[in-house]
Amino acid sequence: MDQVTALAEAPPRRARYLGGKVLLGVAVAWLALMVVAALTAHMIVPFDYRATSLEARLLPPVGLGGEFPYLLGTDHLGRDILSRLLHSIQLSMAVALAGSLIGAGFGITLGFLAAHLRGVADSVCMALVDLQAAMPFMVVALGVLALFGNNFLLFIVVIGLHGWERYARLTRSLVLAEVEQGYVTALRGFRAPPLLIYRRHVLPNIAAALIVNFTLSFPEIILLESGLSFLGLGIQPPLTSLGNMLGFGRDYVADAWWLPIVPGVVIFITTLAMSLAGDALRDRLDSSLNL
Amino acid sequence: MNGAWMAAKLLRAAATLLLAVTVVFIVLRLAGDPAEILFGDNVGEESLIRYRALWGLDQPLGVQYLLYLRSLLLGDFGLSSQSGASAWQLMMGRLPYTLQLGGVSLLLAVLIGIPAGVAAALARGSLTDRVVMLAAVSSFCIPNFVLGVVLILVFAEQFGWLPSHGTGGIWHLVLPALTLGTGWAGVLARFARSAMLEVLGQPYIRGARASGLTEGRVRWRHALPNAAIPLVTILGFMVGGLVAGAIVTESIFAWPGVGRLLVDSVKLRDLAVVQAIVLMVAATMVAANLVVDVLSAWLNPRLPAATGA
Repeated sequence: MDQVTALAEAPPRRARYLGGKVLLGVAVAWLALMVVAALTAHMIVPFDYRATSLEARLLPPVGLGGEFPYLLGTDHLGRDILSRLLHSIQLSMAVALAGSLIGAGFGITLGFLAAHLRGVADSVCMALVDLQAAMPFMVVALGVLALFGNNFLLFIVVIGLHGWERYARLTRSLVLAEVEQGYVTALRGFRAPPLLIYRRHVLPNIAAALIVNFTLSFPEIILLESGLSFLGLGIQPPLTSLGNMLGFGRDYVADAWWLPIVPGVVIFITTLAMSLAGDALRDRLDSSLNL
Repeated sequence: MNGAWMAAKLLRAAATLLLAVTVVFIVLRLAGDPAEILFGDNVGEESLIRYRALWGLDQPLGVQYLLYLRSLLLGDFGLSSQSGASAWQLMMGRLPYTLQLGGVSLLLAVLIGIPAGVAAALARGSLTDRVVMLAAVSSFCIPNFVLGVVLILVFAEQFGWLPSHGTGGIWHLVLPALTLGTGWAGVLARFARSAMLEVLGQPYIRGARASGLTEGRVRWRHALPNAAIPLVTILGFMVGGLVAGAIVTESIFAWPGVGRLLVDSVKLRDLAVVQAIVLMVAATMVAANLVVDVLSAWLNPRLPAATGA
């Protein structure tokens, strides 16, 4: 079979050449584990994540010279790394989820407004969308943090600003296409108020595409949170997140390599798993969507 | 390339830049009175009034906006609240380091990523293809701050082969450039693969084969140059996003570039420097967009821009 016909017969599906179903299964299992860890962290941790112990400082993980009950070892203050890791997963996931919801809410609202109002309002919205899309988000986030200082709530809002422009652009184009449909014309004929049409009828019809966009942006948001926390500009002690653990662990890389490596590995595997699972989900949910 | 298309592109770039400046101005004013932010409660009301007059802050907002535009056009981005030096000069002093690191990383990414992607496309479905693509996805899923720390751990701490931070000789560049270049190489490999596959599926490739050309000539003379067009676009955006992309890497390796200056200035809340860097990044991105548009129109004469259609 020559390459041309091969191309025509087998549309490229990334999940397949990445090792197929086994790898996908591992990815999904890992993500499920992360979700369970995030939901139950406060109940299953062996130690209080803030509890220090002077006798048990910088212990390596069990199996590498460490001792029970500190499964993954301890940090420079003798705090249990497994407990801190579980709490970090919980906080990182919670912040990413809150940020995603803020970004989605803001972007979708703006997209509906632009599509509804059209004219000048539409142009202004889309110009802002283009500007945001052209700016690297990390720079925007740093600018906002410089201006308003850092606190937990503001940090979540900054994280939430990430990706709003993609929701806005997507929502606007989908709504513009949707309102041409017969059912919207019919609802308008019944004099249904626009808000009701949009919320009860249009939104459910465009939800699939928005959910796909959500799976795209969630790993990016986790990386953004970790990156800013790593730089010391995100989650602040005594709270702990994956990036924050890695950032502080970096200072001990010479004496206690497990401090940065444990959260680093978790971040890497989680983003990789999300990327694999997200691709598979997109292939299945809708291959026609060109995101 | 026709003139009207160029003019429209230039106008759009200028409008985007103006919008960026306007947004920065509005946000800066929303944050509060600059005189109060700068001096806090340390000075009396009299000095505040004097400084407001000095900086034109007692003028109406419209006038302030025009004054702001004028000072930016004159290259005046204000003074660093930390060192008192000109924000513009501080930034420019760091730029060569970022360009050096970014240039080497980008070169590394091109030399590894594109050949790997092309090889994967030519051996579609083979083991090579799978390995290359798994490596590509892994490389851009591993964040710079994880990869950088791992590289320091292995090559600086365990083996002691390479310096872990700072500048000096060429050896200081190796770890940061690897950290920054790996992710880009992965992106380039994936794009090179899909661009090459798309081109190989075109009728003119079948035509070239049918006319009896050797497979080598078809691949390198007919397929590769066409596959290079989308790659130029990606490369253009990478160059444009260089400063932003290097923020984390420069911080890990204590590399004295613009990205590290930005992080330090954010921590110290040195607004003039942050503002100068944000506007510089915006201008770079707008310019990169423009260059990419013009370049791809020039490379691909079939695009409507080139014919004026």
